[in-house]
Amino acid sequence: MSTDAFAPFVKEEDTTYLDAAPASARFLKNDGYLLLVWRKFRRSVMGMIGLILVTLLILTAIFADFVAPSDPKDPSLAFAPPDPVSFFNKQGFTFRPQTFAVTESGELDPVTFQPINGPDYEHPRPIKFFVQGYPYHVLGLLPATTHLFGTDDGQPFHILGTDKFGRDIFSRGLVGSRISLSVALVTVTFITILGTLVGLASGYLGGRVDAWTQRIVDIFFALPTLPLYLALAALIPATAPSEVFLTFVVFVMAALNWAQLSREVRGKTLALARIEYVRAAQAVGATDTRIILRHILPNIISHVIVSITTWIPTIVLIESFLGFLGFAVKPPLISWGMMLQDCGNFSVLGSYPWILSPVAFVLITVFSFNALGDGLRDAIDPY
Amino acid sequence: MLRFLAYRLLSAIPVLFVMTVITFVIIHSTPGDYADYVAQMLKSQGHASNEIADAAAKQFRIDHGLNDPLVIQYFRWMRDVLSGNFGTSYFFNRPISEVIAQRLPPSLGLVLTVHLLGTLIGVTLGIIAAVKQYSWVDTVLSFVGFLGITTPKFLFALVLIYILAFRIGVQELGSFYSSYWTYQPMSFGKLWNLFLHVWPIILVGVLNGISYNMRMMRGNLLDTLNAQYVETARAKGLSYGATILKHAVPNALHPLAAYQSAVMRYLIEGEIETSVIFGIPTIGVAIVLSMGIGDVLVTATLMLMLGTLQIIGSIVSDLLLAWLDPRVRLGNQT
Repeated sequence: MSTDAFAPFVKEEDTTYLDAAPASARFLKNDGYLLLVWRKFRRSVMGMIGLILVTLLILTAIFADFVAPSDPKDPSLAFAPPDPVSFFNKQGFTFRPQTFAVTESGELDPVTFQPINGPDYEHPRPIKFFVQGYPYHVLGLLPATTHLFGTDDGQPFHILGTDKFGRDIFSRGLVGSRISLSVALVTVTFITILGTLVGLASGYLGGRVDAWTQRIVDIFFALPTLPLYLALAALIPATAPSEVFLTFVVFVMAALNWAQLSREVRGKTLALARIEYVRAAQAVGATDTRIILRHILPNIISHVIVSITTWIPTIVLIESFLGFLGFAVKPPLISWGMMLQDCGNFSVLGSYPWILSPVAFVLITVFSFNALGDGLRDAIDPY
Repeated sequence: MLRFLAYRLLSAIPVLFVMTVITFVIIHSTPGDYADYVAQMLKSQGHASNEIADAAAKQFRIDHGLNDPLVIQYFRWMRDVLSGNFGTSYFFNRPISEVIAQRLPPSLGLVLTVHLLGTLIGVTLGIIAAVKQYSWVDTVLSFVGFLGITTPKFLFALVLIYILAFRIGVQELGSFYSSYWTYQPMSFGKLWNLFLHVWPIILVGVLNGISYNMRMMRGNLLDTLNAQYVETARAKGLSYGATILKHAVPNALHPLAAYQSAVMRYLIEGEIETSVIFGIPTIGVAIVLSMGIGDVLVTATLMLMLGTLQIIGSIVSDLLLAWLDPRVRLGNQT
């Protein structure tokens, strides 16, 4: 069949690509699934904000050292308040924002006898982009000293103040995002694999397998998870290397959380396994593996993806609560929960409120992943 | 209905049994036991020598059978539990049943208040949001709901406690009553004092509950509002309000009732998180405390309590579902 027969229906600009496609494909060509999802997703404002924030979060986690203005492990003045940033100095207005280092005045507060720290307004330090700072390795390979922003006098710059050892909270938060995010990602990977496999098997095979699996899932549902985390986290000796400790925490969180996803997947599989095309596939003798992989899994995967985006913030939260109680991550590794540990002490919290700022990191993460998940949930079924 | 209830209760027994075994094993495998805590306390508080402290620890283990194999310890505890006697707490130095009697009612009270308020307000707001879809009310409620659902309880509690204690100067934190009211008989003054102490804790929990219920209710109601029977009800002349309340809302409540089976778990976890931060003496704090010092029987008993509560919650949810939905009710009888 020649292409001329359809010529009246074809717009001018389309003809170039039509030559390559067979005639029948021209009008039947549908947009791909991913394109449809993207089109729908793009319309949700919250979802897009979430997507942008999540991308930024992952990028800052990867290039944390580049973004961090000061060395996260370098101690200076303990519990120093955030360095003030201003467009004004003693001379008046300047276009370049400036910061004033917080220094010890050598005097004591007459009431509390705490040393008085305050910004040094005599020495404004201009904030610049791409300054030289502490040495680090890009992606753990390339040595570098350039940082995204900071002051060029080589002194630390504390946007969010310092913690009890005088380490920069902002830089620690950035570097800590690596641990917090990767713990969440790895845990969610385990949860997803285990939950999907068990759910698929239980729902598809049915019968006795299903009954027994569901009893096991019941037990996991009846376990009070939060106290069990504490018990399990106390299982490993305090002297264990921090990597071993972290791996264990990941496994504990995965082991206690897979049941929820497996039940959801089972429910979907149960419904799908009775649908006509699956029965047809069974009738023509397709193997179980093929049916599960080709007919059932693709229908479930969208649900699993959405649940991944909601599980990540959940795990970040569990990690931060465990870290807050001192159960998740041990120094020298940094995580957001560990940074919050001092906030449990009311007198410290009252005197140095800026140690609460890791809360902002957790909130941004939780917010952005949830926003992404919300957007995806609406978009994942575009038909 | 009775058969269904009996079946659910009976099938809960093996689940609880396995659960206690798992928790018991995990609790006991943590390094160090209460005897270590005794020795440590003797050394740090009583200035005892190492030998005396170790001897005391050894004697403590013998007295309380901590050297016995785990299986024997487990069955001894099980026998006690089944005979209604939970044993004695090492740390609190009194029967565990007393510890529970003291801590469970306030915990349950908090949890149920949070749940009731969260459900009632959340469902109401959800109905409003769904009926006024795309209006500014809906937008505001959706945004607030999203914030409420993403704000983590323990972080919210941390920030709230900072603001209350150090910015506003609220004194009523860290206990259920002020010292004056603690030993007074119950009266309106005492009740008001209780409220002054617990409202931040309830607020933290309720915000989350409201948001969750509101989002779920809005989504469900929007689905049911599109159903044909709603249109029919309007067509036959039923008023708009009556249509929504009589036809749409009961059907939209269905997933909400199903959600009640999981809710106990989240409520208890939330209670633990907030009360640990606020430092009020509830079940959650008792678990964390007893686990830290190796007061194993308290931990195990409280875990059993929580597990039982969760199962009761899920049974109640099933009953609620059956009461709400004739299809479920009749399906079970056949």
